[in-house]
Amino acid sequence: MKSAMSSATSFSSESIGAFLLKTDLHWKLDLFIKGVHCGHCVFKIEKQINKNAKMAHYQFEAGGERLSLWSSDPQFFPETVELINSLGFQAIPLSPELKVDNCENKFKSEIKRLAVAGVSAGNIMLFSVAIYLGADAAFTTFFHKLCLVLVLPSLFYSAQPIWMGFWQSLRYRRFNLDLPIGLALATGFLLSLVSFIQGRDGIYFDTIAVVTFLILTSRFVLCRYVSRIYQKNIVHFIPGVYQARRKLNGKSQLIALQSISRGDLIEVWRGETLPVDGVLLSEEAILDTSVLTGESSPVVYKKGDLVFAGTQLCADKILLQSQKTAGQTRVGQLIERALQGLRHDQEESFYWVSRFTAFVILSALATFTYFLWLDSLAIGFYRAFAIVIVACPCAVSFGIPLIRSFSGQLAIKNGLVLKNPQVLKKIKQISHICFDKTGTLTQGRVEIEPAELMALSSQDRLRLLSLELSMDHPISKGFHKYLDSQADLLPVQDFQYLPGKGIQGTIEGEMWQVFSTTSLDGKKRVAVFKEGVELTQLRLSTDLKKDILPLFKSLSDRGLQISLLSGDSGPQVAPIFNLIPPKAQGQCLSQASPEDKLQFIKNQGEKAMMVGDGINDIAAMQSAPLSLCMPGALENNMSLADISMARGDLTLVEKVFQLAHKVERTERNLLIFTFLYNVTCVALASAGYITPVVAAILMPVSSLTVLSLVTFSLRKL
Amino acid sequence: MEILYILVILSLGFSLGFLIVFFWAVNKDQMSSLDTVSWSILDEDTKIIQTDEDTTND
Repeated sequence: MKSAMSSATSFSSESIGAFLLKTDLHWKLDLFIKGVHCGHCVFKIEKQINKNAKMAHYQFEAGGERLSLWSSDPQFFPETVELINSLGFQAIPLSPELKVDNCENKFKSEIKRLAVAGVSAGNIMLFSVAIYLGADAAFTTFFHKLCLVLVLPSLFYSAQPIWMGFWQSLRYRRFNLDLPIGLALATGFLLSLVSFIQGRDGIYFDTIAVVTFLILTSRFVLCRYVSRIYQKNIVHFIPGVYQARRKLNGKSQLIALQSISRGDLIEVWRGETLPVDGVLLSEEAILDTSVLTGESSPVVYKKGDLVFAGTQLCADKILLQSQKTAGQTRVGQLIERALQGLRHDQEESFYWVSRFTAFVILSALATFTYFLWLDSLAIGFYRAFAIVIVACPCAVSFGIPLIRSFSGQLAIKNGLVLKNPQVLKKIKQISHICFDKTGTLTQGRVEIEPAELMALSSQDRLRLLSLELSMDHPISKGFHKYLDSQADLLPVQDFQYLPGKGIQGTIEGEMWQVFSTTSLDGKKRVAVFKEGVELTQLRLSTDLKKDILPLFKSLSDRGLQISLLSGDSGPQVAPIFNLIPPKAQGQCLSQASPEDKLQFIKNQGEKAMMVGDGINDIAAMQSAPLSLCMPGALENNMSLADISMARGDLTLVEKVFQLAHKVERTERNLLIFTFLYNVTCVALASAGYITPVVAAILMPVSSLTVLSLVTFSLRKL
Repeated sequence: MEILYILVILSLGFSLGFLIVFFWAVNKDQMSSLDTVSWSILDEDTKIIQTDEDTTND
């Protein structure tokens, strides 16, 4: 992988030019740096780029994976990219428009709001404690005055996002969380103000400040988590491609991906990924289309065919005319759709929060009307207010976001990346788990058993290697390790790829053929022919991953059905299928095309979960209600699967279930607590047992309970 | 107990001071890279010659 990458990522100064952003004084370039693991990596990069006198300023973000550079000299940027790559990292320029918009400014203003709310709440609590403990009249008035002064910045500066949400809720007549919160804050403040002016009891500035601070804190934490995931995932529309060769006036030149326009002639070399959707102008192209179709053996395209971005050229060099670029390409559309899902989920408001809001508003209104009719306006108002304060849905409004944020962090700690924290909820509906075989349960590398190969004479072996390595193919990769040096390879004439059969070519006047066959015991083999005579058969092997048995057992203990969906032939799949405990055995699909897999998943409806490695399972994974992705060949698999695994370790599959159940349990406890607390308190408040003062104490206590409940339950798996 | 008036105003002054310093720090981008800068203190000050051992990650 590394060798293929290094040639494709050396950027010419022209290709970097397209990524530069002109600011007032300097040019700016954003880079995504692959391979940064820890502070030490960051420090290493820092030390090197600091040496360049042309650099004006730099900044790392997102744990060191993103680097912004500023310089007045455009020549600085290619030099630096080269430098970072030479340190063993991979620096990928980011298009300015892909940057999460205004993230920095938003972060700055939010953290300022939080600081103000914190200072306000902290100081007010000090004075409130003094008041509750029985400060004398003079001090009480003094402290109330101070509280009023202190609550103003919290309410009018820090709580601005809440007011905006409140206003939108009124404007679009849609329940959101900001409605009851805003309502409680506004009425609480106005009533307190009236009480303060009249010199009566019932001043709740402390409650207002603390509520504001807690709500803003929980939202801030969640927002940081989501934006970090977001930034990590989004790099490019075409996985693994950052530039292309444009042919202009007979000269080919490397340019940045986004400078390509429709109609440009694009040249692609062997091993490279197609940067655009376009029409093939060369006579023939052999493409690995697994990214799009899941078909793992290469496909032959003829002149005039439409070829797609994201597919990989297996041999030769081709020319194509660009038709669609970036987000419009087929693979770009796939990724765009996944990203939209991510944005949408962020916006999704919680289903029962609106119910809760309605419940609180209705009980407050009912209490108010009842006592207005029975008693007096003042009593009605105070009881309704006690309800709104005591039942402030803070448990929900920051309890649930906290659970999401904590579960996301807990997942990352355990090597899982969630597309968004909500995906864990779907695990409840899963009763059937489908595994891809190659790359998921097995290592996915084809190994050529050495015995027969080494038995060949060294001359024959070199000829065979020359033929195999003239094309990139899953099997040919297995031959790589037997090659001493690239220079030894012999030229191959009349090379031909026969789909479904094998390859052939002429080397030093001899006709060589390699065809795949299946031996009597069902194992896959390749037969080698020289001048039509079979020389030998080579055995191929793939390795089972470790931990496969405990995984099957634990999944079966959870009462799940396990199925295997594999593109390989029956005799290869059956032994693995037999490892599954009999009561959990689902179906074993062999020789399944990506379409078969897709159909199988679709037939399962809402209960199937697909575990794959992101290449030949994409279609099935997209349509499965829940998908889990092995770290694999597709760079953007993180954006496409619901959950992606940081390591290819099968124990992580079980961890997903553990995590989901833990989160579900925590959420259920939270809901039970909130329900009991609210129903009891609302009842007591409307009966007059809870005065607004007591409500003001109960509310933060309940919030703290929620906070500790969540923190404690989700601290580790 | 009149001392309280002075103490309270003093403590509020401290809070205000904190806020001013904090706002200044945020505006100067001190908060925008929380993870990476804090790590660099773990590294040695002297310039290290890049060796193979040096490139291993922990």
